[in-house]
Amino acid sequence: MNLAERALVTAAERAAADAERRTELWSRGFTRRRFLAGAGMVGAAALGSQLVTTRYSYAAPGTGTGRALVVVFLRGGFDGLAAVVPAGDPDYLTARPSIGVPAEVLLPLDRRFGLHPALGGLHGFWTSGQLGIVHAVGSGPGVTRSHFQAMDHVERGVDTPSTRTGWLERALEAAGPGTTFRSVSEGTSLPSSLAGLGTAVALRGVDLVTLNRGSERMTTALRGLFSGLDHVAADQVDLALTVLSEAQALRATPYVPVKGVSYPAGNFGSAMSDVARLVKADVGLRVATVDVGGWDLHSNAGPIEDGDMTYHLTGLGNTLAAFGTDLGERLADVTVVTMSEFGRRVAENGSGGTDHGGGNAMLLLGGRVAGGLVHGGWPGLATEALVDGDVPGVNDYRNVLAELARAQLGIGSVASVFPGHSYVPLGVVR
Amino acid sequence: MHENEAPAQPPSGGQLPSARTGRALAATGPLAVGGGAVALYATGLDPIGGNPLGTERATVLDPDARLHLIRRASFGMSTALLTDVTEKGPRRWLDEQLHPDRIDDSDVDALLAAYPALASSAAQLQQKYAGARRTPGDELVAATLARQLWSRRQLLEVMTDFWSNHFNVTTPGGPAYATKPVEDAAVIRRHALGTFEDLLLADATSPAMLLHLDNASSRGDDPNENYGRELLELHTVGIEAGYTEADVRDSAYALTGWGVAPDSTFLFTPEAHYTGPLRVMSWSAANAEAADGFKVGADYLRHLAYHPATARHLSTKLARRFVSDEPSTELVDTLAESYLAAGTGIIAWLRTLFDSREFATSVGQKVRRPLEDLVATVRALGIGPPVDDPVPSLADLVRRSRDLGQAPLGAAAPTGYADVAAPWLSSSIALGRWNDHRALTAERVPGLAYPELAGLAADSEPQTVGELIDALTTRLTGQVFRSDHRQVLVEFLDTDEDRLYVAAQVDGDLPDLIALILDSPYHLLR
Repeated sequence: MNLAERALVTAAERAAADAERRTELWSRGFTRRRFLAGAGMVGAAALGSQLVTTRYSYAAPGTGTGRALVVVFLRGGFDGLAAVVPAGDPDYLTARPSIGVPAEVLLPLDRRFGLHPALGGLHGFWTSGQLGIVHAVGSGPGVTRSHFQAMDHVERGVDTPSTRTGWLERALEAAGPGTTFRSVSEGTSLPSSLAGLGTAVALRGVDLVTLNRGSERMTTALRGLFSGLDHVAADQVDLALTVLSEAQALRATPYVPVKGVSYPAGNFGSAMSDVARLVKADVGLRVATVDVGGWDLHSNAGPIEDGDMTYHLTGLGNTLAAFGTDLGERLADVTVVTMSEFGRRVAENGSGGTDHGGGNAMLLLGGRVAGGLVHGGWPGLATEALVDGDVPGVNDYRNVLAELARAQLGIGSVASVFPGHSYVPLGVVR
Repeated sequence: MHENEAPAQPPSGGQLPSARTGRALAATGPLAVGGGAVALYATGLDPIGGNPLGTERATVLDPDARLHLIRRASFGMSTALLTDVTEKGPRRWLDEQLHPDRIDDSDVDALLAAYPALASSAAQLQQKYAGARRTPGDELVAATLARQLWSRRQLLEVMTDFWSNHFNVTTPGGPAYATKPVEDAAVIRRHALGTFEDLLLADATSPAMLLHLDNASSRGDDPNENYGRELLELHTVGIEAGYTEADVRDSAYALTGWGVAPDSTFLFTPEAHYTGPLRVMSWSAANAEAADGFKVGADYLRHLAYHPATARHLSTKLARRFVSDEPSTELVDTLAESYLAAGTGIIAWLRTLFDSREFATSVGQKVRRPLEDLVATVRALGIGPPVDDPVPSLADLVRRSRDLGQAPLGAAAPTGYADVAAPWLSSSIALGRWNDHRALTAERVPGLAYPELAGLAADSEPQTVGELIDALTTRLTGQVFRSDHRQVLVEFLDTDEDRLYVAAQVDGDLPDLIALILDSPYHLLR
């Protein structure tokens, strides 16, 4: 076994160990959730007619450098009320007597809110004005408390079933052509937000983009076996072989984060580390998506010291903080946004958890974020302010995403990205 | 195993002469292409015996009825399976598969002795595995894969996978770690070919599900909605049934008190049961006495099992599994009628499906998902189970399936894995499939009983390179490749098809050549 093969085996083993670890630890909720059923990629005929993807190559340095948007999807229903706690609200601890976070352990945000201590890694970015928050975010009209339906809505970005493409795919289309790596999903498959032409790349880290015994003779034959086949599978063969050839040079230099930064173990840590690698390699990355599961905590979310919620928030906060620090000056070009299908019920249930709810919190990290602020309206937790026991979604998620897409992807009108929605910016970007 | 093959209900409105065969579809379905074709169909031609409308195919796959049935009703072709189907004929083979207890499976049973968790009670599992590194869930996942790979009861394995996915309890890990093997045997496998009514009731009382979706901690004075909601959305009527949040709440209330005893068996606790009137869509109950809480919950579940929306929801999923990603409304309606007419009986429902014209004409419309690809690869290559300890070999294969995003029983969300192609077509998964094909042709998974690759073509005694390629593709995919794709393989060997096959010149390339055959659409599609 030569050095390259050994590196490959090591990377594969590491990924396998990570996957097992995540399954073991995060098994209570979601790790991945794919809802492309019925929202599949369009056929080969559409390829090329709407989008010309200029392939990235090392021979042309500097292609497609610039800003990027990283969308972190928290699968299962993130508890915004645990992460960004309305500390001063007298109804908060009444609704959550056993799992509410007491004011004295919170990290200060503004007069209304405090940050869960497990997200402490991010507090420095709040202080330095690079972390912003939007609370009481709603998932748009027509969204129910079904995971499936709500994810389907917010990832397509529309409330009608007829639009089959994802919101990020439409945003990329509005942004114009780019490189092979202009949209990357860190994972085995693509999220519905990238459903469309099938040009988005899925990878589990650049180091795993390899083909055993993949000589040129082999890849030529592979292409040939799918020639003349009018099937989406043929498009993915072509894409996989292109990614394989272009990742070769990228893999040659092992990635080392900046000194002092160590990403938490697990898939989320490796995924964000890989996004940082792609940003710094200037391969034309414009959009990256990463999934984090485990948020559907219907039971045993507490205690604050070492409960499930604390565990998940620690992983989230420390990974995002590592990413922000690792990017350093490049954080000026990159914005990370967290989103979820819905929030949780204000009141805890009888199992020490919370059921599916409504309005939620989004975290925004980046040099261009109007940080140090909780943006948008906040209805409070008084009984009369709630809708069916939920925080009403007074801030539409599309307004947040549209503002970020405009800033990061240089899109003018977002009418095609969120059709049927009247865009009203909240001022989350500086 | 009961049959539940009650005669089909008289059709409403008189349009459908037979709900069981679906033959009336020929006149009205979207696939009807003309009077001649319909007439041919109406002669009573056996749909699983052949495709009467071959012209409708737009696929490279051979429409041979045996190959089609094998691709859909099993985890993939092996020489033994093809011989079996050929000798018995598709219909008799299917009959036998629908009664798996009539099929000797002692070889795989012997293999499963390596997984003692399968034969243990939940209480034993709890005790024995407390703090152990390998959990009962790990054993079950490996055993599930072993059965998919080598069981002769292939349709039972496909249906077990279907129902495990429908009633998904993420395995291994999670609160159900000690109870899922019990559920697998006593709920899923026991009822996989029984009735859905029995299956649903068994699942709702199984500790694995009660723990996984939190019903075990749902109390009348403080309900947990998780199970009550997914029961409606995922397990029975589906979100399109149009239930409300109030329905979800009463769905949870109806099942409060259904929980788990300390010895990991089902326990109904009247004190935890909500009392008071309940209404979920068209079902209602006075629910006045806590002591009657089990009866009320069981009545509610039976109502759901027979709900027309459940019939449609389940039938859509069944058709999606066996026919195409977007089955026609007509097929779903036919299946839903069959399901209700047979008292939710699964065998009659499957017969309706396999007898349908849409099944017969759907050759090549499905894409193998990553796990199906991996299993079919081992089966096609004729790789046998390890002679020695199977545990490390299967752990390696499970790791590969996990890296592809589809470990057996491993779906993270309660919806289970998607049963359509799009989510499984990505650059990452494409590379993963190809690498697994190469790993298996290069004998990288330790301990398995690998055949000589050259032997895969030996029966045909190929004289030329072209004959060698035909022999290999036939052995691995059941057919000769289209000429342009065949030529790609000839060129890969850097030779001519008429060149004499000289083992010393070609056999070094066999691992790569065979991997390419498995990469091709002929193995990817089903």
